[in-house]
Amino acid sequence: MKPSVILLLLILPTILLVSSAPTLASSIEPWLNPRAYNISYGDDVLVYYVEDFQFGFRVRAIQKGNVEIIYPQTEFSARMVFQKGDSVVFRVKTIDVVHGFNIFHYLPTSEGTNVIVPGEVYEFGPILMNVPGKFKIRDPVPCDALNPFEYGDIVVEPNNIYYNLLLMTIATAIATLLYITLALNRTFISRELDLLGIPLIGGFLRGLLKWRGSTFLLQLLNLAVFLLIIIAGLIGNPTGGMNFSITVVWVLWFAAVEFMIFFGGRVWCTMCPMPVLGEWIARRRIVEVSRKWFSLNRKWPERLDNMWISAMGFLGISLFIVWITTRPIATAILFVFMILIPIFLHLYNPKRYFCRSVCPANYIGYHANASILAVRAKDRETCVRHRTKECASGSPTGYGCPWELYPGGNNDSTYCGQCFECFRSCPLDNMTLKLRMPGRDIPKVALQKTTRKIRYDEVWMGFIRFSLAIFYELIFFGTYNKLKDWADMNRTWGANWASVGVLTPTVGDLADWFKWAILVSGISLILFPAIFYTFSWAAKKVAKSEISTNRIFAAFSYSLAPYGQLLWMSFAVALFLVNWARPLNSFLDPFGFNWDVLANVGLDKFQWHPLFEDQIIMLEAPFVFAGLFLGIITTYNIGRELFRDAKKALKSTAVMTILYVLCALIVIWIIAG
Amino acid sequence: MRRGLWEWLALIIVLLTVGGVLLTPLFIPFLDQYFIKAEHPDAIVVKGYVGQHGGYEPKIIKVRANETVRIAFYAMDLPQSLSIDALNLDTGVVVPEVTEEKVIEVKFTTPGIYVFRNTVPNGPMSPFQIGYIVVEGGQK
Repeated sequence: MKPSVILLLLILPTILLVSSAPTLASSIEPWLNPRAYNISYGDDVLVYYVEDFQFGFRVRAIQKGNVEIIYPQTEFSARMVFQKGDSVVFRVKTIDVVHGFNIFHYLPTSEGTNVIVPGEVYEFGPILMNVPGKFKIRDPVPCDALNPFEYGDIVVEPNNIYYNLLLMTIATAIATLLYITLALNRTFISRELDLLGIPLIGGFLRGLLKWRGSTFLLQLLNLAVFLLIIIAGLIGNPTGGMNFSITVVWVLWFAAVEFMIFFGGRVWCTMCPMPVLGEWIARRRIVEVSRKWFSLNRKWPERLDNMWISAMGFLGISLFIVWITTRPIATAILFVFMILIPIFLHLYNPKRYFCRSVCPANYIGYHANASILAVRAKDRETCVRHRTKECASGSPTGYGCPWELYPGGNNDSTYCGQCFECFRSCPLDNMTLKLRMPGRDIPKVALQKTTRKIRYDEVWMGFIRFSLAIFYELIFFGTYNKLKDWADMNRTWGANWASVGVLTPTVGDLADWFKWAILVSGISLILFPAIFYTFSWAAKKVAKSEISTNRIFAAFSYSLAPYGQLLWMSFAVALFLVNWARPLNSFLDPFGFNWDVLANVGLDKFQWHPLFEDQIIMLEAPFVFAGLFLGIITTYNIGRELFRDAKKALKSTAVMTILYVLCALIVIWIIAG
Repeated sequence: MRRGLWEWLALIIVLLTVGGVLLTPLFIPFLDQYFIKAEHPDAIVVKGYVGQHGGYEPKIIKVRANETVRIAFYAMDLPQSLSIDALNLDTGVVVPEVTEEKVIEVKFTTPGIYVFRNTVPNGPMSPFQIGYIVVEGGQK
């Protein structure tokens, strides 16, 4: 035998023995051993030894009184479960940088409290856990780039709120199905109201929408904010929570746009600054109507006239979401591209193909049919009889639809950018805003888009948005630190242009990111659609329908538009209530340079503290229930259009409801369990 | 087709807005003076940046020997401190937007170059966060 092999045989067992030997944490880390400090607790007091680090908190040891020390097996346990009446002491230390330690309800949650400095062990308690429920542990100190993701969970049993929410989820589904059964032949959510027909308000609104300056002023304001975001991202404070580019985009805008979709459809697209520079250049005009283009005016390729690029763009951004939402430079670079790409595309074709087919925020269009607001013709017959159709071709007062629609006959909000050009060009004043029940047009749209050629681009946009709504909840507020580490490529630091080098990942970091990317893409592109397909197949069997499974699968997927939208709104509620102070402070100090632009009028910066910290769960849950309700109702309405048989629609809806309930239960588990 | 009055007006407003925002970085030193509250007019203001500007701004402070000066230390990005080894003086941790700035009084008797540093471990950049106090000899 060769000496090298003998050496290897000798060394290998030693390595294996050493690496597998259980090590008592206390033997190497004295802070875990209270006897070393001669500290005495009562017999009933639980002592939790908690490490604070960049992505959250983990329990290293649990001690009961002075007797028992349990070392939790799981390395990444950021979840602590207590019984009501437990008395708990937290001994906390940071293992990397300065952090903070606050528990919603149980420990003060305003900034400046409970700062944890490296090298010290801090003790909080004994705290009497007398209110059951789930409470977040949060670091209020802007400690590093990843602070927005730093959460832990405390559950005080019996967590009756959680169990009640689970029951309410099931009850919502049963009640909705019963509601449908009792009124089987009724078409639900069909009512609508002509908003511009309301006396006084309607006239004022019509005048405002027809005035070209209204869109211009909104776009100009947002363009200024947009450019400020880019500049702040490039030169501002590298800590995301103190930089306008992060707080305004990823807290304020991100949360607000979800509500805008539900209440205003594509109203964000009305004022979006991204395509305006390109559009103004292509039109050679800003507010006036021109007849000449500064554009090649080439035909947009048919194979690109869909949502695939947008859907993949949204997924792609989500794969980098931890970087983009924490590193100002990443947001700045993204936004520079978001302004350059539409300029180039408008030089190719002057219409809004960037918005229709490329923009990653095109999910707004996917969900627009779930909105309570839509641009429609006041009287469809008038449009049919009207020959010149200026809404599509243009007039001296307004452009033909920049989104390449025929607004007079449109019943689908997906690609209506609410630019109101049709209001300005229509000589008959026949365009209006309609207030309606959410998801009213979805059944017809779903049928239309699955009849001749199935619009799989929109179908997959639905799957991506729906599954990521759940995933975002898990990543932003969950305690799965390993996942967050992978998504972050194990980088720690914030960065602007000057310090972008610190973000360079190693090969191992990239490998970790690939795990994350495969997981997220796999779930949203393959796993969830596969599960949805299986349920669609079962729905077909139960309904005994001759329609192909593919078509049922695609048509039913449109019910995710209202359901997914409500889940995103639930996420937005938590995002805003916890982080509201950061964007407001950024308006006072956009670059994070310690400014206070309103100090002279006596307005100080806001102190961070979560709003309604005890009620956040109860404020989130109704959106989940409403989403579940709308998902079921919309599925039934789609089923009626698809099968032309109320009973078949009901049976298939019952099958799909099982999947919807499971999804809702997962969300409830994440937020309250 | 000629541009009308509103079009010209819109164009001017757009150019002013875009230009104004894009030129903001040029005015930051002036804006700094205006917007940062001058709460310590008699002190030397030192801003600490872990990730940029070479750690401290200004990086070099000049004082005279036997002169008592006040240093107001602001943490700008992450929690950090300003510590002068030679005088065994430390501001302790200053957390941006959380704790107030810290003011210390220093007096050097011997001319020379002294180092001040961040003693709060806040990541791989913190060892590089160093500034210098140049103490010049004699009275003014």
